[in-house]
Amino acid sequence: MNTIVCAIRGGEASRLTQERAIQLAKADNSRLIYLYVVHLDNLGHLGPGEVLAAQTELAWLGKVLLQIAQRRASQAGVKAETFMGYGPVREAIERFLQQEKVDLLLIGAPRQETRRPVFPNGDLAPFVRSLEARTGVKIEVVQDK
Amino acid sequence: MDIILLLQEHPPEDTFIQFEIAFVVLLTIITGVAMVVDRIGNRVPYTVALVIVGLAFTFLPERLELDITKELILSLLVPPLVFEGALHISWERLKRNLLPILLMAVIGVIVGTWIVGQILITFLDIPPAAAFAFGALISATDPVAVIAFFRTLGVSKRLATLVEGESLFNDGTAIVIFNLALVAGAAAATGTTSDPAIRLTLGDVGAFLAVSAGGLAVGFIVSMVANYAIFRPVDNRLIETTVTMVIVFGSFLIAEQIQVTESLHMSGILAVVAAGIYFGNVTPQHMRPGTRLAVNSFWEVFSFAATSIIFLLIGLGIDIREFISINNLRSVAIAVAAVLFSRALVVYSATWLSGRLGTAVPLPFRHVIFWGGLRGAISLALALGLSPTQFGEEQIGVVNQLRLMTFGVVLFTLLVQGMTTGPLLRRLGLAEKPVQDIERQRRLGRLYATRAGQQEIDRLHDTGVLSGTVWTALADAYRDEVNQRGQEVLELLHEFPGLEPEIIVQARRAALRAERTALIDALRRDLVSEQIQHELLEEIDARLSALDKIEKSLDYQGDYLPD
Repeated sequence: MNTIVCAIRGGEASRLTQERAIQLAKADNSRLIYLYVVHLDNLGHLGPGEVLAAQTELAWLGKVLLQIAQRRASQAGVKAETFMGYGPVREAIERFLQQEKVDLLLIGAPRQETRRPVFPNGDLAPFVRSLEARTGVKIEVVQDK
Repeated sequence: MDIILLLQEHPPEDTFIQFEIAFVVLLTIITGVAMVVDRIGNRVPYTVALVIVGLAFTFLPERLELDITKELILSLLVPPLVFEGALHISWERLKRNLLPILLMAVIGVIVGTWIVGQILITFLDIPPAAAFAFGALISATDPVAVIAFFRTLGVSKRLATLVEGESLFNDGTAIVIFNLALVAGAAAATGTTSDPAIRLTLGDVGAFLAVSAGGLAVGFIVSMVANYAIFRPVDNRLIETTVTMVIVFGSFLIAEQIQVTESLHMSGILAVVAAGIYFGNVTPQHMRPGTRLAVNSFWEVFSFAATSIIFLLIGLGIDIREFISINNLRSVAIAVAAVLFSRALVVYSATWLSGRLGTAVPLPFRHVIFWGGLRGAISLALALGLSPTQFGEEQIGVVNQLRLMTFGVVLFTLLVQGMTTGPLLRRLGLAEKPVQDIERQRRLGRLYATRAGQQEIDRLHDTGVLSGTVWTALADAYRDEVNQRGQEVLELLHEFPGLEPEIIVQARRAALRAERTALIDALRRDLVSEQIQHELLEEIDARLSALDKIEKSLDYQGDYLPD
């Protein structure tokens, strides 16, 4: 049985990525895992008492988003698992791919006009190539239609 | 009620009562206007509504006369406004847009002053010093009304940074150039120089730089000292909130007391700008989230009251009947045309240059920056601060003419530009997201209201008021309606998946607030001690503060990966 990992964050591309994951999992009867990464990189500076609070709230948001994705998959007849990672997104994804036996990773394509893209100016393609090379996992980037 | 005269003519206790009455009257009018604007769904900017109400007072048999002085506006009302504006400016975002902002706010103000001055000299035969003083005072933009639109329509944060940043810095620049023009005008009027034209000397440039940089340095130092001396060691929200007042008015006063030349002092407004930016970006790191919320709420209220009073005073200060004269209308029309022309030239060329130098500003943003360049409090305060003989004994009429033109331009920008900026934003496609946002609010509002109705029906049944088939029928009808409303929310989420995280965060915030209220209740019921309650409230405040940051970071326009 193949294992598909679908990285989610919420939003339009996330919905498209989830739909694609459900479609693939259904077609091959694959194991589907939704992955959400809790990261504080984009919240600006956090005060001493705030790091823990922000981490707790982001984890809470992630838990709800994962449950929504899981329920959506269940409605489509696919049993999905969930996993929450912590830390910088790139590292957390790579860590997860190395610890699980994964065949395919699905991620939504970031739009370039986003404020602080992790992959500015076409940085995504090299990241995908290098991650594929390091982990041996095939990666599919789901583009907005 | 002439507040200033009252201060002079009546014993202190009477004066205080009269002042207090005037203050209460103003706040009552403000509250009424705010309620009406809120009722009509914020279709008219609140500040514009205040001006209109103020103008309407012209036609009352007994005018509400308030002596608006430059000092009242510039020293008491403007610093809180500027501070609150600077407080929310992200240094990171400001830094990324500093080039276009400084091009517009420094070079742009100088060029704009010159263009407006030249037009007035040519068409209205106004003395050069007066023409350039007007050019400078009218260069200060006031984004309050426009920013209100931005918030309602949720336009790009970058556009808001450009508009707010330009306004913060051009206030200071305009005041400095205005004072330089007055100094030159005074020299011409007293015969110190025989040349009536204004010539920019190296000394003026040096003075300009010293006044601006000096002001910024004062604000930075005051805020930094407060940060190290108070905010780091002290952990008390009352003390820390009080100290922010010292920072605002203290930095303003200190800068205004430091003479750069015989007739120029450092810029108090720029001092407040620097203090606000430093405070907003550095100090919160050393504050508890609860204290930060308290400080932000305090300045939000202070700024709301100050803004409201200023705009109401603008309306009250303009006697609309004075415009009913061909000569006056002509002066105002020429001033408006000059201001629009110079603004267009400055905005489009500064942003073009910025693009050439590496920081491009999209064309739709340029249109909004041009048309959204409203004028307000600073221009008015500077015009009101001119003495009748400012430009010499023979030029007494000129000061009145300048005031009238200032009021005219402020009025035009507020009423015409202010009322059309919202449609412009929609037309340019800069307000697309809020359509979903507004729909989300509408559908959630309906669901919330229907659920409340359902609960009331159940309560009536529980208390025995409703029973039998009537209750069953009503309960069924409400259940269907709640289901339908819920379905509408789900459909919206399906159509706009990007709203999902926002709704989750919104619900979480409501839940945390309910937890907060429950803790306050728990203390009343002696379930927890004050110390434990304080500790738990701090925890919830930290989470609420974190949620604010998470919400700000949500830019769910299609990507999985964080921006």
